Order: sequence, then structure tokens, then C-alpha cells
Amino acid sequence: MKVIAKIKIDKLKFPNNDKPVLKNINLEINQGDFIVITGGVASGKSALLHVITGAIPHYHNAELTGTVTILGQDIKEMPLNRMSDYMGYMMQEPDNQIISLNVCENVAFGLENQELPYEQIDQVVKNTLEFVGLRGYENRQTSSLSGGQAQRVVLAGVLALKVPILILDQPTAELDPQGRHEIYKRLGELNKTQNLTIVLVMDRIEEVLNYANRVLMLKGGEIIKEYSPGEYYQVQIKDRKEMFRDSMHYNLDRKKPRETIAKISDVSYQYNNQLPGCEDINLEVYKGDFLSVVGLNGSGKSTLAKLLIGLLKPAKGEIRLFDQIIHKKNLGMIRARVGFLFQNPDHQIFASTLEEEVGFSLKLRGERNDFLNQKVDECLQFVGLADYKEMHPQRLSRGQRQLLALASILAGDPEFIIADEPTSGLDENQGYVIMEKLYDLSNNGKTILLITHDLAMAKDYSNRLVALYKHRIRLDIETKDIERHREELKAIGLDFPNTVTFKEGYDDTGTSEV
Amino acid sequence: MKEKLFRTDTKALVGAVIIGIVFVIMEQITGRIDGILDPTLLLLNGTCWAFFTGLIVLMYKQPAGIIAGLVEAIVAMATAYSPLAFFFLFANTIGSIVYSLIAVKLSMTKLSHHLVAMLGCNVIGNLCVTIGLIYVIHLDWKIAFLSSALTALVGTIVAGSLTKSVYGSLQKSALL
Amino acid sequence: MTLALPKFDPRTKLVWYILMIYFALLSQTAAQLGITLLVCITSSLILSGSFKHSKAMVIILLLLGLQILIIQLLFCREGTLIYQWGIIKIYSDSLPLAITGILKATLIFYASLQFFTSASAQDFTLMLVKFEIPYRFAMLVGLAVRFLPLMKEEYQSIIDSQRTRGLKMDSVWDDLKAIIPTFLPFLYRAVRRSTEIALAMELRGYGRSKNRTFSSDIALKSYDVVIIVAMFLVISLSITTRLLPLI
Repeated sequence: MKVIAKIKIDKLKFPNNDKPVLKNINLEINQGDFIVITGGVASGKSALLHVITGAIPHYHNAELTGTVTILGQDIKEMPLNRMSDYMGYMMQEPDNQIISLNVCENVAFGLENQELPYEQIDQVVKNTLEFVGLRGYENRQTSSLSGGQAQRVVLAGVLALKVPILILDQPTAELDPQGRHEIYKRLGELNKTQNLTIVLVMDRIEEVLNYANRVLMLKGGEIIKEYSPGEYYQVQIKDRKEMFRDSMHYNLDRKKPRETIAKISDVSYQYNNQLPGCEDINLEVYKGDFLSVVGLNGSGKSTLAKLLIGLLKPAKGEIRLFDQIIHKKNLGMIRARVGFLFQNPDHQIFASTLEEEVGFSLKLRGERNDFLNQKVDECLQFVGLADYKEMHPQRLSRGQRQLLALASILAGDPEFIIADEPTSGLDENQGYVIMEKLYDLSNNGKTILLITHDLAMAKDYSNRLVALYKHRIRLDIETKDIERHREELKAIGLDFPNTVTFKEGYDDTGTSEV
Repeated sequence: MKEKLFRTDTKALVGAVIIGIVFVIMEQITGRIDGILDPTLLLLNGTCWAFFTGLIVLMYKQPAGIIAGLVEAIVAMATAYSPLAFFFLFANTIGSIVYSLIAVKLSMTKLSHHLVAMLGCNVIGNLCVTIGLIYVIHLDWKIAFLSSALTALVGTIVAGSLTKSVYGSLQKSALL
Repeated sequence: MTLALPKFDPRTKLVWYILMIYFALLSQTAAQLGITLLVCITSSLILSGSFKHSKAMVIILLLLGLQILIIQLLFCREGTLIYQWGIIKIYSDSLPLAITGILKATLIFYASLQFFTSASAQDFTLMLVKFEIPYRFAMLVGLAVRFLPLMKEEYQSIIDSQRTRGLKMDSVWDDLKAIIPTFLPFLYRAVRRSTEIALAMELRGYGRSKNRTFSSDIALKSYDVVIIVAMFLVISLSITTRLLPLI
């Protein structure tokens, strides 16, 4: 097999940081490889990708000792905007990679920069869009695309350049199962039929392993082990089983008399632009529940959560929290008893130290300083960030920032925690860290309402499942009965892998079909 | 000198547009508050203007400062946000250039440096708007100067210390 | 409206805009200003077939007009004194001054609105490229149009996020106090976002050579040329008539 890239890194250091981000890397990438990179928090995965793309040292300020060659070219010698001859790069958030107002322009962006004549560009754009399954989308406005479609437009923009290597950083972390499936399917095809080399930082273990041929495990900036996808899957399953062994999470015994925390009766909501949000929702949340609300993107989950916390006002029906109807006067009091963890922690982090961030809501309430400090320490301890107390929050990794957001919510001692896609944008390991924390909280008597499109996670952690489809509640079941309802869930685009063996889990059941 | 004044890499250009959009949105927010608190003085709006004009230059130098200023002025015009938006075209570009020219001479590590740069930027920027007010709306020049002087004074002090702390915080965040 | 009107080149529109601004700044009488404004509004009506711009600005202009009027009434000291009550004196020139002021502001405002909403982002980009502005700068127009609505939405999410943490936003004072905790996350997010966008653009070859292909082109048609020449003639004529008496 032809070696397409050689990466030899002795050390990579960022300024003002003594610890190297990467060290002793010696990696050869063969043509046609489909490499999956995995590793825990701060293991250096993204840094490795940035080195391969040339973003380090050309774009990000860092000190690199070593050489990276792609197709015999030392990338240190090459300006970043010439890298598109060698590789294409796709990141997590499709929004930030879509530069133009319509789909066609966006796919053509790279080709136009190469000064190709327009007739030629037109043909390539058409073919590429067809390949990613978006035929006829040329003139669509990019703002009207769903997350999965948007990411496929980005993919098309990269593929149009006919690059030999494709680098992807958690390309499906923000997508629902349907969108994720669409992307991986195309990647697998490209790898097989066109011998395209793919290097990908993994977000979810499940599907991508079916297409990969090598799995690299990073830890502390080093490649500590290389697995075959099969081996890696086995290890993961074993770990996961161990994690769940002691508890079998969903069998939480909650037979005590059930006190109602929230009650939604006949609630409907419609957005200003006439889009429906929720329709005829009836739902009761009981004290101690770990309730998961599942559904695809756009099914109305987030609307439901926003209604619950009074960010939206129901057009019809009534919402009671702690036995009080929400209105302007008691909203402050109710919110003090509820914690809301948003999808994107960056929407709330504003302080210049972790401490200040966690203490914010307590300060708003006018708590005393000694109590505030003690509470802040406690919460940071709980999420495992106590060591970084004085650090600037923006220096944390995305996963750590989500934990910080959780800590700042916990500081207010909420009885009821609503988490809206808290693992979106995180890789699987980091996602589980967040979920474990929520689980601990549930064990400590907090009521949790989890909004997610990840049925596997919902199944592993919650005791109750509510499935939304097209803005209505389709299913309200105990999680232990999930197998009996599998067909119904599949029918609304939700499925979970059988955690039996690699391949079997997919080949038999398939994933959610598009 | 040249490197301290100019930056034309893609990061700076895109940054100018994106921070320019933040500028637009924050001007709208502060404008709404001003509309209720001090509809004729627009102290908050003026401070917000000065703050962004300075911050963008510190973050991305020129021509980013001018680009962000143009984004703000043009969006204000195209969205019918303010009837005075036309004058922002000049206030924004000239104000930004003045800030750059002063900032390049100073180390910008002390509060006084930030205040001096802000003073220049505020005086020139508000002067542009004042000329517009006098010449176009036929405001009495004494009134126009008085209100501009007040806006410039508040802008210099508040925006000067704000740019220092926010820019410091951005540097600490390692995002730049 | 499906009338087959000519599609003007953005450069023609730009010269029209310059012409309007020129008149707005130089006209002294209410009649001149009124006529120019009328022409400007009519042109808009013919070209777009609707009053959509006019509607958006009526309220804003009413507020501005009221402000100008009050200020003129209170502070104008020209003409003869027509009313006095305590220290409040109203002079005869205040009303005409207020009217020309309002007309001038309206004309500038309307012409700007008309110009900046008259063409697509792509057309403006192409216009800038025709003016020899490097495409790396010219293409920022499209970027701004693409990200403005996205970021507006994001700012709302940030406000929601902070409200659930107990930040009050019920009164103006609350809003004032909420600026910092909502603005800072917005700024950090924006910086992260711009870093990613710029990287994505560079890695797709942005700026690799001096020129690039565009999917469309703009060209001056003969009627564009005629109109532009005519408008320049009007401007130069007007300048000459103004300068001649001075010589």
C-alpha cells in the first residue's frame, strides 16, 4: 500500500503552556485508510488533526518540532490556502463552514478559488451534490437546510476539490441519528469506491466503526495503542458493561409515593412564523424521575423544555411547576428551583475565572460570600474541575465547558434539572462523563428531565421515556419496557444499537432508515 | 510600525465581519435602552460605539476596524435602524483610523493609554455626527456640540476602561 | 409586479445614490428637497413595485421628526420672537428649519435604504471587484449577510440561557445590567466562530491566487451607460452653476 502521509512529531507546544499537547507521534497513513482517532479529554485529538491540515503551525500559534509530509510535500513549506490540493477538512459545526447564501455557491467555493472556468464548476457541483444525496438542491438557501443536510453540503464543498485525503473533526457531533447515518454512509462509500483516505476524530462509537480499518487511541498527546475496529468495539462494550453493571441504571427502584414536580396539561405552542412548536402535550414529571424526552431534531423537544421553564408562553393549556402555574410574578422563584442545562455551554459562560462563573447565580440571589465560596468549591469538586478554579473558562475543552455549565447550575441547588441535549457537540467519552454526573444527581434525589436525540443514552440512564414525533407525544413508557416498543420507536426514526457484538448490532437491525 | 497597524490575513478579515455583526446587534440593544432612558443624548449607544471601535482595532488592527465600522453603518442603513446611520459611515471609519494611529504609538498596557486612544476616537467620531446634526438637521451648533461633548466624555471614560478589561480577558482566554 | 423593467447594474444604482445624497446636502429649500424625495420614492415604487421601504421607516422618521421639531422649537434663536413663556422662547424660523431638517434627513435615510437593499450580496461583491477591490475583501459582503441572522438567533439563545440562571430582564434597568453577562458569551462565541470560518475558508483555497471565478457577472448595459452619463451631467451642471457666480 502506498504511504500517503507521514507524521513525525517530537513535540508540539502551545505558548504559555509547558506541557506538550502532542509528543512522540510517528504515524504513517496509507492510501485508502479509514482511520478513526479516539481518546479522552485533552488527549490531543484535535491538535493532531490540526497538524495534519497545516492549521498548526500556519494558523494557530504553536511550536512544532517534527515534520509532516503529505504526498511528499512538507506542509511547513506550504501556505494554508494551497493545502486544498492535498486534503479537505470538515469540522463539527456545519454553520461555520457554510460561507455562501445558497448551496451551489457554497459547494463551488473552493473551485472558484482555484479559478476553474464556470462551466466546469457547474458540472462538478451537480455531480457532487448528487453524490451526497442532495440532487436539485443547487438553488436552495443555505439557511433553510437541516443540520444533516447542511453538513452534507459542507462535505460536498470539500469533496468537490477532489482531494486525496479527507480530515474530519467529529463531523456528526451536532447531528441527530438520521443526519449522522447520512454522513457516515457517504464516507464509507467514498472510502470503498474511490479509495479516498479518511482520518476522522470520532464522536460516536457506533456506526463509523463499520467503515473504518484502523483505530488510534490517544492519551496525553501520544498514540498509546492501535486497534482494529473489531477489537476496539469489544473493549468499549466491556467498559460500558462494567459501567452499568452495578446499577443497571434504568431499574432504579422508585416505588415511593410519587409527588408531581411538573404538570403539563393540553399545552400547544406555535412560533411566530407559523411553525408549530408543540401540540396537545400532556405530561407529568414526578419527583425522582430521570425522564428522557427523545425525538429527532425539529420534533418539538426543545420547545417543550423552554415552555417548562417559562421562556415560552403556551398558546393553549396550562403548565404547573411545583404545583404553581407559571406566570410573570412567580417565575423568578420557580427558576430558582429549576436548573436548565443548555446544549451549548458557550451561550452562558461569560466570566474570566471558573469560580466567578459558578458563583454567578448565587451572586444574583445576593448570597453571602462565605456560603458562596463554599458552594462554588463544592460544585467544581463535583464536576471534577476544582483544580482549574482560577483558570479562564474559555481555555477549557468543550466537554469541560459543558461540565462547568453544569456546575454553575448546581450552585443554585435546583430540585429539578432540565438538560437540553447536554452531550451535543461532545465526543462519546465526554458525553458519558456528563451523563454520569446527571445520573449521580438523580441518585441524590434530583429530578432530571433529559432532552436528547440519542436513544441509546436515554435508554442507559433514564427510568422513563417520552418520545416526541412531529410536535406531539407519541410514547410515554417505562424504560425497562423499551424492547416492546422498539418498532414504534423505529417508525419515528429512533433506534438504538444492540450492545451484543460488533456488526451484528447493525447488520441485523440496520440503523434508522432515512 | 506597519505590522502594528495592519493585518490582512483571512482570520482578521473574517473576524472584522463577525465582530462587526456583534457590534450591530449590541448597538441595537443599547439603542433600545437609550430610547427609553435618554432618547436625545444616546449615551449608551455612543459608549457602545466607542467600545467596539476600539476593541476591534485591538483585536484585528486595520483594515478590520474600518470593515467592522462599515458593516455596522451599512446594516444600520439597510435595516432602517437609525436615520443618522449615514453619518456613522464617516464616524466609524475616521474614528477607527484615529484610534489605530494613537494605539500604535502606545503600548496599550495601561488604563491611561486606553483612555487617550479613546479620547481621540471619541472626539473625532462625535465630531462627524455633530457636523451631520448641524448641517443636515439644522440643530443649533451650541446644542449639538454640548451633547456631543457629553457623549464623548462618557464614551472615553466608560468605553476606555471597558476595552481594557474585555481585551485583557480575551487575551487571557487564548481565543485570539 | 411582472413589468419587464430593466435590471440596473449596481454601479448605476451607486451613481443614483450619490446623486440623491448630493441633492440632499446641497438643496436649501423645502421645495427642492421635497421634489427630490418624491423622485426618490417614485423611483423605488417603479422599480420594486411596492412601498415596502417606506413602511419600515415611517415610524422611525415620525419619531425623529418630532425630536427635531421639539429641539428646534426650544433652541432656535433665529427670526423674530413669536411666543414666550418663562424662559421658553419660540422664534419664527424654527418651523421652516425643522421642516428642511426633517426633509434632508429623510432623503438621506431613504436613499441609503434604497441603495443598500437594491441588489443582492453577490452583486455588491461583483461591483466591488469591478472597482479593483481584491476579492478577499469584496466577498466579505456575502459573509455579513449570511451570518447576521444566525448571530441574531444566537444572541437570543444567550439571553434565554442567562435568564434561566436567574438574570432578570423585566425592566430597562434590568436590561442595562444584563448587557455584560449576555454580551461576553456572545463575544467569545463570535471569536470562536470567526476563527473556524476563516480556517474553513483558507483550507478551501481562499486567497490562493489574485483572482477567482464568480458564478455570475455584472456588466454595464447601454441604458446603464446613458443613465450614468446623464446623472454625471446633472451633477457637473449643478456644480458649475454654483461655482460660476464665484469666479
